[in-house]
Amino acid sequence: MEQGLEFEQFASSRAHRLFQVAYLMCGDWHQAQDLVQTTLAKMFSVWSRLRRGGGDDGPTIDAYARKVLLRNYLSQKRLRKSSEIVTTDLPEQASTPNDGGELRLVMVAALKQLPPRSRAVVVLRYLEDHSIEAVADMLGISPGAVKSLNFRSLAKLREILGEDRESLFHR
Amino acid sequence: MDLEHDLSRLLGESVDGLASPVGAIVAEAEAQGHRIRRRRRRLRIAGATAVVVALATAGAVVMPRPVAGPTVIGTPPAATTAGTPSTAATTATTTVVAPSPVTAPVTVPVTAEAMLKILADLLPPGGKLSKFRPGPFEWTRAAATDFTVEYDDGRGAAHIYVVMSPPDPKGMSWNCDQVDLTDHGTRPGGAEPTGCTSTTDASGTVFSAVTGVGPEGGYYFRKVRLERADGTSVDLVVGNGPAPSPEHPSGLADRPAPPLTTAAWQAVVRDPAWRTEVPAATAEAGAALAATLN
Repeated sequence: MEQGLEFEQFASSRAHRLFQVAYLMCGDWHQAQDLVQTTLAKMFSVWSRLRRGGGDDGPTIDAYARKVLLRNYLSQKRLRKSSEIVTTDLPEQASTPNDGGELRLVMVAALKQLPPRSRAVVVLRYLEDHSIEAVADMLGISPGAVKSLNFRSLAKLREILGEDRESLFHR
Repeated sequence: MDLEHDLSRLLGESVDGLASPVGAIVAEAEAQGHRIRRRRRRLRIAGATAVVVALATAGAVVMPRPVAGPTVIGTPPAATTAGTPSTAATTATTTVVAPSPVTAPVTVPVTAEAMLKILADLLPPGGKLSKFRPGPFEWTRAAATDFTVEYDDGRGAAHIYVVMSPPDPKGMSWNCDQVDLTDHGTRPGGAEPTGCTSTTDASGTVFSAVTGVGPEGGYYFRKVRLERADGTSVDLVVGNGPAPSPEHPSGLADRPAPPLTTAAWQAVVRDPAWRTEVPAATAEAGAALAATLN
């Protein structure tokens, strides 16, 4: 019972942040919910082992949560690749962002034009502020590969956001 | 201004007001997590049970049935001679009895319940049987009849699995060489060492005895097997604790060794009562006994 309560405390305090990460990566509210649910369910099933392995080391469990989330996200992307529609044009309202909701649409639309792995790198680097090495560890690739993905992703985002950049930056 | 410098702020602000269904996520995650655990536990139980019955079900699949005189193969298990129940069919009689006019009893194909009755009659007095489960189970071979039951000789419940198989038309037999005696777990203090012996008597009946290995937790089993010259076989597997369960998926080793001795169990399977056709009265008595143990 205590274990259940412990997990519930952990999940309740992390679910919102994981949801934000998942939402920016997949760009869909319902998919984000599924991703976070699956991630936490997998953690629940090995919770006692996680607690034994990580003790009270919160960051270790948080890093594990992101790893599980990423793997779920990337494997879902592989399965859904054929059904995903990538838009080349941003929504009309994205050009004049004036509130959080519109900014969200602009950013999600821009991120959606990046390959899934690049999206993950951008979200983990710039929303979560993880180091190159930490992202490499979560993705299971080399730091050099992360740097390369990061560089290409930024170049692509500059191109996508285009003239909106100035208005976005000076909000 | 460069995008890299402002991306953190933009991404952060873009999800600032994003509503997230935290309550639903946590509740559903716990429900899904329970399902994953249950599925994993079922797999572990199936694995542990498979280990326990592996030797019993491996019979009659690989080696040609030996027909030579008495032989001993493999390393001896920790067999002892104490506590042997009656009915070892080895004593020659000299009394000549006149044929009686009594008609032969009506026989019926053996059932799991009838096998339970045969076992119960062969066990030493004072023990207690419980939790009878008739086969077939997922591992049961076609045409075989089997059951599981718990037996407590006063020192703790022990899981017993008995299977009787009719002659195999392929004429194949079980052999110690088929047994993997690599222990996968720790053995409890006082546990018997692993081993396997196989002997054949002049009539061609093969007697085998195995002290087996087990998963983590110290749970292991003893197996005795009899294979008659006609190919009918009786296997009896007894553990050093109750059957694997959701609480103890690898089995619970609640005693150092299984009850009785290898010699005692060998005497049990040697009994001529183990037949593919049994008296109807045995089947009826077995059904009545089983009803009290379910």
